[in-house]
Amino acid sequence: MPRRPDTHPRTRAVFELLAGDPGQWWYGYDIARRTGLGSGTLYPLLARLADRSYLETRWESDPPPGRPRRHLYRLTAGGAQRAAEVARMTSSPSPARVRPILGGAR
Amino acid sequence: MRRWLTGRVCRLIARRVVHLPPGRREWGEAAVAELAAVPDGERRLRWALGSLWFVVSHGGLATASLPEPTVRAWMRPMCAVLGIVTVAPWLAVSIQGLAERDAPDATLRSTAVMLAAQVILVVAFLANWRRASGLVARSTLLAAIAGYGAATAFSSLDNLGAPALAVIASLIFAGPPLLAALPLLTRADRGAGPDWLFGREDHRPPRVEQG
Repeated sequence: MPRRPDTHPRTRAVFELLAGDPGQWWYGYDIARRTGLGSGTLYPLLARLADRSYLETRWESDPPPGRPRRHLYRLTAGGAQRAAEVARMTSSPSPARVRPILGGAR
Repeated sequence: MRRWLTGRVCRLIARRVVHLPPGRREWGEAAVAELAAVPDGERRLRWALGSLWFVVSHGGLATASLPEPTVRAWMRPMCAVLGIVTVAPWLAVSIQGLAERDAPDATLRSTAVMLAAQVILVVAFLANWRRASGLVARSTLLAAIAGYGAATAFSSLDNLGAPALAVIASLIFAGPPLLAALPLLTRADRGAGPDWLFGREDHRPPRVEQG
């Protein structure tokens, strides 16, 4: 039986994390750290969510000298809605390690 | 060691990021940019390896979706055919040699080795015929040519026992396919050649601070 869209544990983990504070911009590494996902898994997932307009992205505006600009992410209104739908569809909490939000990028 | 390995992986990523399609390049650059924020050591190495996987796996799709530059469109099949032509007669000889089955053991063994090397080389050329222009296809072709040279040297040593002749035989047999394969081995559409000819753009990935 095919899996319903966006209900994969990894996608749910990212949705759960970002939906926890929808207005906040997140760095990729912070998302990876809190969800336990590796970069090779996280970026295709984020790209897919952005392709479907669930994710808003932007580049860091003024990075510290000597450090490259980082990419930031947050849920769009549609993404937040989808995250809520996915949360409703899946009764059990995501098996991925969603760690407490200690504060991401501002 | 980890730092060195991470550095090597970062260099590989930087080279591959430019091959990502426009819709994915931003993501490859984002993964690279995060490296500076990842703690040094195993975590950074793992992040780099994951990023490499991302840019390599998505870069393959990019190569397939990009239009083939004109200079490559006719060169690729032509080189592949030329390469096969350099091997085909000797392949026929090997098949015939094995089919006769009256040769001494040494000849039979060397003929089998030659046949295997020739078949692999033909398959490698066939793989490069069309759009299989990725790193794997090119590396396989190069390895197949090297293997063909080694098989020829082995065969020569097995039959004649003269190292000098083995070297000469290796050059004679593996030289033509290598010449035919050269345009396929160098990525003229991206790596070498002037920008005006191949329409290459400068997409430099973000600089990564190692420390």
